[in-house]
Amino acid sequence: MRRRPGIGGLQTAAAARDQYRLLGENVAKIRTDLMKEQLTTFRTQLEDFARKHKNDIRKNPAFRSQFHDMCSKVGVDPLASNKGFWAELLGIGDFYYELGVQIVDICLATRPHNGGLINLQELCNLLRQRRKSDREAVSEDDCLRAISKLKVLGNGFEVISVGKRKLVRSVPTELNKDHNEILELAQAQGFVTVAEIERRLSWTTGRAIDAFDTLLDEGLAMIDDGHRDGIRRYWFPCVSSISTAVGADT
Amino acid sequence: MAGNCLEAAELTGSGRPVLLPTEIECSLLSAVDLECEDLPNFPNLKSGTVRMVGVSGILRKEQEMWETTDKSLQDAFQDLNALMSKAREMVMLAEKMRQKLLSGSTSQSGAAEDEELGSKQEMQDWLLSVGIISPVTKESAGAQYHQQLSRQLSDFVRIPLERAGGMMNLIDIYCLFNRARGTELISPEDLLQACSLWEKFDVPVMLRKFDSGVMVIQNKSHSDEEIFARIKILVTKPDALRTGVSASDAAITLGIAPGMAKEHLLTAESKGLLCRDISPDGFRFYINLFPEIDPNNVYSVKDYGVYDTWSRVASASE
Repeated sequence: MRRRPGIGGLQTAAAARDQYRLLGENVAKIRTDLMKEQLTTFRTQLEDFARKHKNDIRKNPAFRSQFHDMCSKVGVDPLASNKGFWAELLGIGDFYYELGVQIVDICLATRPHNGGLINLQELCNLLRQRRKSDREAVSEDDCLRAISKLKVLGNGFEVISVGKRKLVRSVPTELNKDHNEILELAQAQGFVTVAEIERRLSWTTGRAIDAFDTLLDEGLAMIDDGHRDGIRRYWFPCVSSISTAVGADT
Repeated sequence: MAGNCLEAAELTGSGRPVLLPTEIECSLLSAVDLECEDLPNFPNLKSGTVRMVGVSGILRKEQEMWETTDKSLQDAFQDLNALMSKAREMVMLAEKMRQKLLSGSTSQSGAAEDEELGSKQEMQDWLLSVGIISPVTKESAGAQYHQQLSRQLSDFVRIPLERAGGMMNLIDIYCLFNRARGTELISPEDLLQACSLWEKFDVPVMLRKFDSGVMVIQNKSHSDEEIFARIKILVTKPDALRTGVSASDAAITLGIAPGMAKEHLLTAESKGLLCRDISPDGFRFYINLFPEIDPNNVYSVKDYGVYDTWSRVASASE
């Protein structure tokens, strides 16, 4: 376009800008069509995959876990929405969302017993008991994924690692490092004493009692003063290996 | 296997074995069907064809099962790999398109805006299909699915909210809604997106986030002022002046869940209405008297006011 001086030149320049803009939009449009096409191809491919392997995903927890890992590497979240292709064609959405509902139920039911902190293994056992009628096996990995989805609802659902075990938290309680260390020590016998804490972790009495008080307040610890030696024991239902079935206690 | 340990038996003329005094005749069967007579419901065990009975037969069967599963799994993994590389392409394409739309939004022109809005909407829908959640922002209205869900939810929560006193935990809504649906459940993210859209529409409910991270939905008509007024009445009762109010007390009086009650008490405290007292008796709240106390003359008690009421009640209990 030759530059022309004066009004004519300005008008030409304006016209040129418009034309470039339209061209740009057209380019965007073409790419929109390209995107549509790609999406259809992808959907078809996913349909094929689902036809052949939908059952494998349902029945085989190891394959399911592998599937999730690959999805996250690629950057897609098959559980993000019920409306996604993944949920629609593979049908795994319902499995995990329902698992989420059941996990919330169980955590709520066991809260009076353990204060909102439950051992992952115990949770999985209770889940399996509940789902006895369902054919699909539930692995710990499945539980972890369902819980990570629940996290966005803001109620403090989280998995924390204490020593070798994983605990599922269902209350928005802040557990600081001190509390975690106490929980770790408690894993051995299910309880700890103040003296043990002082000895093993080299804390002052004040620090230990402070931490215990918070844990008691939140309902995560229970006091046991019934021993002949008179030493108070603090029990932690969430880490003890003896777990009673929900509803079986008084 | 038996052939190596035992000597061959002598045979009679017709091929039958000669039994020595302590021997009995036995033979290996090629197949055995077991039935349990004592327990009629015990499953009958049938062995396979042309296999050895016993533990090794079972092991062999397991092995075969694993082999066939293994083969189909190998196929599955191959197909999975192919699918994932296609998905990766989609993600990259989606990113490019998203960038383009984002940069395009800064240009101004009336006619093109509608078109762009249209394609932005489409963009959101596509991203959702592939499994990429793009959060609701001021400009975008999210995927169509979430918009529909948002309206559906605002209808659904009306009754449960009434029952719960005007405020409900987001996680309780998730469970309630999904249980009611039965199939085609929604994901937690779907719920969050749908609730976040409420502020764009004219619905009588809203999403609210507390400092602790807890998220609730509440009726717009259900105001904080009303709750604070009720808390104030509760906390100025003679008992409460003496011993304070705990979260469970407030919950019973206000008719809401204890967790919610605690949130309300904490909010009231941050507004200066209450003071907390943490003691071995627990976590309790008292009316805040400090605004009425004159810092220059701490002991002067005005004739009206809560300080006066409190001091009378406190001295009466001694």
